[in-house]
Amino acid sequence: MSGTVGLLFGLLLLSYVGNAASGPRLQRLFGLASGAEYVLLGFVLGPVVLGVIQRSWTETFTPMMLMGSAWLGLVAGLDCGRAPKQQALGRVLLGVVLTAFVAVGMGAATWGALHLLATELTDSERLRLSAGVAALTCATTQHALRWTISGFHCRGLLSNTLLDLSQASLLVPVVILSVLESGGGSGKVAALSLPARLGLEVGAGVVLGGLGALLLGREFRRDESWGLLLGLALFGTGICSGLGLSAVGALFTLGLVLGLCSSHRDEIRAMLLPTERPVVLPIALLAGAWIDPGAYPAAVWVAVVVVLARGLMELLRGSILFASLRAARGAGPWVALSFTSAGSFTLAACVELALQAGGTVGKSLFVIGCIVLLVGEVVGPMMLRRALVRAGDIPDAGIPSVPPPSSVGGAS
Amino acid sequence: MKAGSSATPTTRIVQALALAVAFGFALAGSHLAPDGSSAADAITAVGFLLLGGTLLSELLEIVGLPHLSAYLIVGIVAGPHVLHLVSHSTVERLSPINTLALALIALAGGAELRMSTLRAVARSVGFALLLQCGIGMVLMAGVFFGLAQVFNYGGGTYSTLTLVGTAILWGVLAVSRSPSACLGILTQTRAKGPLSSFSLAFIMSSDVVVVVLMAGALMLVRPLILPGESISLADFNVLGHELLGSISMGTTLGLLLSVYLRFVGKNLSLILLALGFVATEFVRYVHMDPLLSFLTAGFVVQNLTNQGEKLLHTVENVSSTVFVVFFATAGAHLDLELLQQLWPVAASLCLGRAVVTYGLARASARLTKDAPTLQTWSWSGLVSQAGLTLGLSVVIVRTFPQLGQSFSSLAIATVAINEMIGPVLFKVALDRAGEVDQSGGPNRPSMPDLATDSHA
Repeated sequence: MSGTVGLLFGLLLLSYVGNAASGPRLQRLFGLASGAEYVLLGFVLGPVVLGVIQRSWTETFTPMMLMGSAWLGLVAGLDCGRAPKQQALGRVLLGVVLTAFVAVGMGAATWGALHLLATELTDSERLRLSAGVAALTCATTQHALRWTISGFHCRGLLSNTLLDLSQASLLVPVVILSVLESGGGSGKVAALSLPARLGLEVGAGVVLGGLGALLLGREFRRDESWGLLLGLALFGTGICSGLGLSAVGALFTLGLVLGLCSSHRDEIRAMLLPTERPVVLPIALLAGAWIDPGAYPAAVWVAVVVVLARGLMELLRGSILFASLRAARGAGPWVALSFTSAGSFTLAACVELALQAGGTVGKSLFVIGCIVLLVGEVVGPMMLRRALVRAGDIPDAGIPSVPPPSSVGGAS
Repeated sequence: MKAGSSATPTTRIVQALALAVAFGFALAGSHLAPDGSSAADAITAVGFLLLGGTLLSELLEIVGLPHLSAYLIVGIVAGPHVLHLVSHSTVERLSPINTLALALIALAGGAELRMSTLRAVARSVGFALLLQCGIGMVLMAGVFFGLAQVFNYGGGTYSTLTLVGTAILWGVLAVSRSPSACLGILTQTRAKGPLSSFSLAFIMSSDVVVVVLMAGALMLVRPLILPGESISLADFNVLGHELLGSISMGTTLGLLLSVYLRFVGKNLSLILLALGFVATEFVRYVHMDPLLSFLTAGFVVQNLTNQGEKLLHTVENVSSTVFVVFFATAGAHLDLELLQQLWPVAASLCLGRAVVTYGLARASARLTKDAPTLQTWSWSGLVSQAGLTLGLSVVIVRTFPQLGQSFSSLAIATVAINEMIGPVLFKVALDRAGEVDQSGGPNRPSMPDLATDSHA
């Protein structure tokens, strides 16, 4: 039997583990919020360390990585597509603005690091790398924050504020991702202007999302709807990937439209949000096995600089929050380090950027993205807990309580 | 054909619009995208076939066509011979989905074979097998031999003995049926009754009979087609091992599955995916037959444990999505150019097969004094042919390369015709026999309705 069949079995097993651990209580037993530790596992099992997973096998599963990353984009968009409450609108907008601020800062920091450490790259490659890093390091997801908040049975001003700030923060990396990938394009699309390519990508997401919302109708039957949702997702992924556009961005838009426009948004969320973990774990393993630090050794040093720059930018974000929001004052400026936990969307963006960009830029982005993801997943929940304790949102400090009945990443 | 459905006009308009948009996107994508992006092509193809098949099946409910036919039509239209939205190479890349689909079909087929039902139809099925597989094979060999003279098969290069041998092989091909088509129609319509029980039991058991017949035919015709060769029992030896081994493996698999269903019972979709992909590869690796193994596994779960309904329900949920792509891919695989060249002889063979099947079915039903429904309609589920027949034709051509491309081309052409007509006939029969589940609408829809105020 071929090794690819063995790897497929392993991936299905991981998916099974992810599905079994999709409840909040079990998720806490099974590691980090976004499953990023499986990137490390994949790296250890991969061709660079133990060689259990061969590089040719990971190449066979490239379509699966493409589909999986786009699916994670869909789930992220669906989760994001909740109309904010009137009183939270200000915080949501502030969250978007601050995320954009961090993105600009990260892009500039990366550009500077590349100038010093990667002199052989062209300006175009540096720009693409910087923009990619900005997309991967500026945002967090509500799911990542909820993972910690619900684990400690938190109720308070800070918890709600952080959730509001993160609700729409993914819009910024999605825009950067879309611009970055649409900047290339393939086939006849490459001849179109950037706004036209962006319009194609967003348009595809909007049209498919609108169709989904219409077709799923007023009466919702779960079994029959799976075929439709899968069909829309795969179709959108294939069309955008084939045209060199961002499938993650298009499917994020699809999910956003479904979440905002469908009358069955809650049922759709209940169907799709639990699929995040079973999809993330196999993708993370494959991504880890795909990492090739030897392809561009300077990428590791750039990643170190990026991690430090991220810490600085988050401190700046925290200072702004400290100055402008009452809820953040109890926690101090370090509260913004909670946002380093990026969730599965970052993994998805990382995979897509690497696959679409290819070459030195793609592989470097991948290495940098995975390192940043892992560090963020460790630092983020730790700093969030610290902030919640300081703000008094955790009733008894350090004693995790039984999570409330409403699940992490569940319906609105 | 039964016309009408429960969906409102608004629903149908939205579905038609969505189908048009999907086709538009796919056409635009195929024009704008560069060639050679095989990963994206395969993903687009699966998504489009799933979406298009689901939407078209709902639209064609208006005229009473089975969903299967809609999936085939989408595949044909999108395929390499019409709109070129799905290329030849992409169709080949989608073959793993066939592996999964066939495993699910066999599992569901075995699970549908309840002992109580089998006891009720055992006599009818037994006689039908004897007539259809025994006499039917001989009659179809005769039809082929006759038509070979009329159409000058082989261009006059074959000797009479070779033609007789070829005719015998064709006879075996002609008595193979399509478990996938049968199950696809029964799943969609949720039909229950003597006709559906008989058809399912017959088709599933005839699979095993045809495999044995094929081994026997290959052995017998060897000296006819290959001068100097003699009859060898070695093929039967291998076949015996394969049959017994497959049944043993299937029994083990079925028991393991039952234990899992009983004590865990979760994440069943993933278990089925693992069975479909990984277990199939393992079964092939040890030179067993996956179809028979999974058929046995489903049968064991249904009849030796009380987990049968749970298994069936899960397989139905997973297969409803998989079948769309499976049949749409089958449609895309149909070689329309070949059909165009060979249609007179292929149509004649199909007509001959249909007449023989009909006549023998009527005779068998009369002999066993079956219910009037069976006497009238028992032939209807036996017309379809699909992957099993094509697989057997590949085995034949591989064993006897002398038969060349013409034999496999003829097989492909006749399967194409039977694959399109068979499901329609079976559904008509089920409708006329009154066995289709009427609760919640004439057919199980692929999608929920855009309900209006009239649907409270």
